[in-house]
Amino acid sequence: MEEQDHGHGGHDHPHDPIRKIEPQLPEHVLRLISLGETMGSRGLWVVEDNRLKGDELKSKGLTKGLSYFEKRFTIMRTVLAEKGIISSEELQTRINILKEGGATKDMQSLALGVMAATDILVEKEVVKRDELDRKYEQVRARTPMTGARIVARAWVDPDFKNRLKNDAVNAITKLDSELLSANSGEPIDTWRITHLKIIENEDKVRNVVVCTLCSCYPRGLLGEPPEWYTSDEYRERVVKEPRKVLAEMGDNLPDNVEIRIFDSTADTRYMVIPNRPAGTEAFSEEQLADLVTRDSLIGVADAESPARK
Amino acid sequence: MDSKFSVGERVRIKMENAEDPKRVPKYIRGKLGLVQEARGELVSPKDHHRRPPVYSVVFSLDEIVSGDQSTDRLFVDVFEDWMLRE
Repeated sequence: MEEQDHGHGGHDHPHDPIRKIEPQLPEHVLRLISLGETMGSRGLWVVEDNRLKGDELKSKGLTKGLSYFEKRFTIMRTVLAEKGIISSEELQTRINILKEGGATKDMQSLALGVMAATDILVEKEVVKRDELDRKYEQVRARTPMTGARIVARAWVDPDFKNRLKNDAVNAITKLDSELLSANSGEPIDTWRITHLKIIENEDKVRNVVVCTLCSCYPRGLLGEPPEWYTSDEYRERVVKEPRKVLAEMGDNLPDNVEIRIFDSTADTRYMVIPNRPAGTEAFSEEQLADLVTRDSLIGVADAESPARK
Repeated sequence: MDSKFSVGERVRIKMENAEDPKRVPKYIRGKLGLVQEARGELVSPKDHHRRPPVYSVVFSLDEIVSGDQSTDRLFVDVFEDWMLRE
C-alpha cells in the first residue's frame, strides 16, 4: 500500500519490518489522548459524536492533509467551541500568548494547541491537572506488549484461552497485573475493553481487524493504532480485496486459508490470537510473548517464527 | 435477552435509516447476511448512552464484491434498527 501518498506522517509503514513496540508517540500526542479520555469521562467527549463531527469536517474539506492526531485535535477544538467551552478566538489568543512566551519557539502547532486547550480547560475547572497527569501515565503505559503477553498465556494455558474466547474482559481482568501491563505493572484500563472479543486464528482461518467507520482499536491492549490502520486506504480496501491488501503488506496467504474480516462498527473491539509458531514447544511464556507482534494481533501477519529471529 | 433476530437467521441490511443515518458502513447496505451472534443491548461505558441491540452479522465477500471466488467472509457489528428479516 502506498501509505506515503496519503499525507500521513509516515512513522509507520506496512513494508517496514514488523515492529511490536511503536516508536514512542510524542508527549503532546499522549497529552492529547489523555485530555480526550479525561473529557470522555465527563461526558464531554462522546466517541459517536466525534466520529460524526469528523465526517462533517472531512466533507467540508477542513481536515484535508492533516495527520491523524491533527484531525483528532481539530475535531476536539470544534466540539469545545460548539459546546461553548472554549471559543476559537479564546484558543487562538492563548496559542499566541504561548508563542510569544519564547520558550515554545520550536513547538509544533499541534503541541501548542494541545497545551493551550489544556491550560484553559484546567483554569475553567473542566478537568483537573493531576487527573490529566494520572491519565497520561496510563496512556503512556499502553503498548502491544500487553496483548502479546495475553496471547502467550493463551498459548500455554488452554483453559485460559477458552475463557478468553468466551468472555475476554472477565478472563483478562483476572490476570496478574504484572502480566497485563508490561511497562508499569499497573492494571490496564478495563473501561477501554468493556466489550472485547478475542478471535483465534486456525490452520485454515486468518482473522483480520479493521474499523471502516473511524479508527476503533483495542487501545487498552495494544496502545494507539499504527498510521496505516487509520488510513483511508487500509479501511476502504481491506473489506473489498483483503487478500491483495495482505499480500501488499508482505503476507501472501494460500488460497485455502479463509480470511475473516472483523469490522469494529459498534462498541466491540477485536484482538486476534495468532497461530503459535512451529518449533516453540519448549518455549517459556516470556519467550513466546517475544514472538507476538502488533501486526499479528491485528491479523495482518503471523506471529514471528523462532527460525527468523 | 430479548432479541428480535436469532442466530443463523438471514437478514438484509437497510439502505438507509433516518433515525441513525451513519452508523452502518456503506459497503453492507442492501446486502444479505447471516446473524452470527446476538450481542444484546450495549450501554456505552464512555457516554452511558443506550443503543439498540447489536448483532454480529456475517457476509460472504462475494456478497460485497460480486464475482469474488474466495471463501473469505466479513463479520460486521450491526444495530438492530438497521436490519430486515429476509
